[in-house]
Amino acid sequence: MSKKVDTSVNLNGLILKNPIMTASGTFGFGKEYEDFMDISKLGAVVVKGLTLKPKKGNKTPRIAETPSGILNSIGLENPGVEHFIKEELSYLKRKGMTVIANIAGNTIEEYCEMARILNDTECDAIEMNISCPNVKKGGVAFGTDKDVVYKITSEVKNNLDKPLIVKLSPNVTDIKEIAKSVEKGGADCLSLINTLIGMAVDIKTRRPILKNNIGGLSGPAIKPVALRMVWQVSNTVNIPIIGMGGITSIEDVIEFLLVGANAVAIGTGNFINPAINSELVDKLEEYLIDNNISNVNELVGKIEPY
Amino acid sequence: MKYIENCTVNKNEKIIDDIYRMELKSNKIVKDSKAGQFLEIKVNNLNYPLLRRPISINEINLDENLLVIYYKTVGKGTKILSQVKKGEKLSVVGPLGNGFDTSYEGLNIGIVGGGIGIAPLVELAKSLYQKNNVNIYLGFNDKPYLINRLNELSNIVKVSTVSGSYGYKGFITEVLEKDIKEGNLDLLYACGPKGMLKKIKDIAKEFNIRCQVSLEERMGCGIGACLGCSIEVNGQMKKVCVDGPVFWSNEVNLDE
Ligand SMILES: Cc1cc2nc3c(=O)[nH]c(=O)nc-3n(C[C@H](O)[C@H](O)[C@H](O)COP(=O)(O)OP(=O)(O)OC[C@H]3O[C@@H](n4cnc5c(N)ncnc54)[C@H](O)[C@@H]3O)c2cc1C
Ligand SMILES: Cc1cc2nc3c(=O)[nH]c(=O)nc-3n(C[C@H](O)[C@H](O)[C@H](O)COP(=O)(O)O)c2cc1C
Ligand code: FES
Repeated sequence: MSKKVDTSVNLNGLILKNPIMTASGTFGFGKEYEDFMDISKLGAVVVKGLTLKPKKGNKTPRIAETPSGILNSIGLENPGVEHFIKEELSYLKRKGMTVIANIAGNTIEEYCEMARILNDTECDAIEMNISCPNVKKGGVAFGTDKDVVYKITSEVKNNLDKPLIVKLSPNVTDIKEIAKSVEKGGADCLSLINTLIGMAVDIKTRRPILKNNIGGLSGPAIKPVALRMVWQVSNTVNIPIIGMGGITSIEDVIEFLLVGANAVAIGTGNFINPAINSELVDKLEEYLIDNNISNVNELVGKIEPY
Repeated sequence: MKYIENCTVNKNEKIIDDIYRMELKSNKIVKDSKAGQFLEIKVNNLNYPLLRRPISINEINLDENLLVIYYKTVGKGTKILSQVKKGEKLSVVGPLGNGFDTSYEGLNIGIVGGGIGIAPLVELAKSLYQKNNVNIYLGFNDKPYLINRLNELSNIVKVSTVSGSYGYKGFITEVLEKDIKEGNLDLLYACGPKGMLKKIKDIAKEFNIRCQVSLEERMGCGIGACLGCSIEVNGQMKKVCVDGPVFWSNEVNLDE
């Protein structure tokens, strides 16, 4: 019965047993989901965004619901990179998982220092968040200027032997330009999209719902934007792409693969269905069998545009 | 252990005005639940409204495998919930949060509830009553509910309404404060609006009584993964959804 299909993907040397990953900031450090699934089934776990020193984040409310989406202004609350290495990483590695550390910094030097620290650990790759819209000094500034993007990518890459994934901000005029700078800077892989900056208003109090006034939009509402950007970027660069933004079903996963993503990450979808990541691993296999596709890579970029 | 369970709605009825009571059939969640924990309920299976809604467990009925909730219709999610018919299924994640610490015996206990914050106090009273002397204080705007049920589970129930339509006219914290001055409460539990909780925190401090408060915060995941619901407790960042919703009033920062 069970015809074997090949779901493994190769992200420029980083090999995953399947292309289903978690999106940073939505999966904690993995443990939080263990009541709902066997997390070792997943292609990779991307952990909560880390900073050099622990961070308390923004004031609450930090979450606002919007039509088919949510806004968040967590402000990168995290226990710091050292805590992650001491308390979280070895647990995930003992389960045989592929672990990707997501990093955010205030300066290029900070990013480089984190890269050096993580380079000596068992984590499998680093995802560099140059797009978090929440933190005033960092985030947007790095991810929106193509020269800065080139500089930070190449400098971090110089401090790292592990694969470097650069995560793009959608809050830019031309995502293709930024993607090209990342490729030129020597990144091994791209991930996109991070959240779109938005706002929600309470007309009774005449105040924003988020204490931070603005936040990052995620969830099904952003899927069309994410698909468009993955498609444009995949037509522009030759490095692999991890696509994300609003995935909540196997159909969504296939759409991202068709427009050129080599792997996908699920973020907000975890909040609606905390078992979604492992369900999608199973459903992808079923989809491939049902459609007589022996290797998942056959789907990548197979959209036929007009 | 936390579960995702498709629960059949056994009953969904209006109690008064905008307050509803729902019974959910559960085989898994009900068995692991305790007083003060909550559920994350998906009110429909569409992407709008997207998030689950956090709702406290009102009662755990292990004989009939039922979880009871009380909810107030305040926005689109709870309005959709109020339209759900008997026999329909809802996706529920739970039990979530730490719940109340009820490991006490022989104490004179005060349980204080305001508005819809009264909902989780039924299961709380159940787990304290008969081992302790349980005094319940309920504050409403106008129309009271759940009084009869709580009468069965306590030594005394005192009620106030802001409108004066029932019981003492004014805030329930005034009744509580008077009783504390005259009597000897050893331990307090409270759930209700932030303003009420702040007042009770002050009372607890003034009279040096330990007090557990159950808090609300906007949530993304409800399971400790998104850090949407962070709160400062003893100077440390904690999560309302897993480290709470119940905290000791002297440890938690209730100011914005
Ligand atoms: C731990 C916990 C236990 C709760 N127990 C109960 C209960 O037993 N009965 C009851 O009636 N209500 C309870 N609430 C409040 C309840 O979650 C909100 O009233 C409900 O989510 C409102 O949803 P809505 O779609 O009707 O309103 P909308 O305003 O349309 O909701 C928009 C968004 O804001 C969130 N939100 C709005 N108000 C609140 C709030 N007060 N707390 C947290 N999130 C909010 C919603 O979940 C949703 O994501 C509890 C909240 C928490 C955190
Ligand atoms: C609550 C929350 C926290 C997030 N934190 C991070 C983070 O720390 N670092 C990061 O690179 N992206 C973060 N993101 C962005 C997600 O990883 C993802 O790029 C985005 O949400 C789009 O995917 P989705 O629609 O599936 O959620 C966060 C998103 C959410 C909703
Ligand atoms: S709601 Fe996500 S951490 Fe509490």
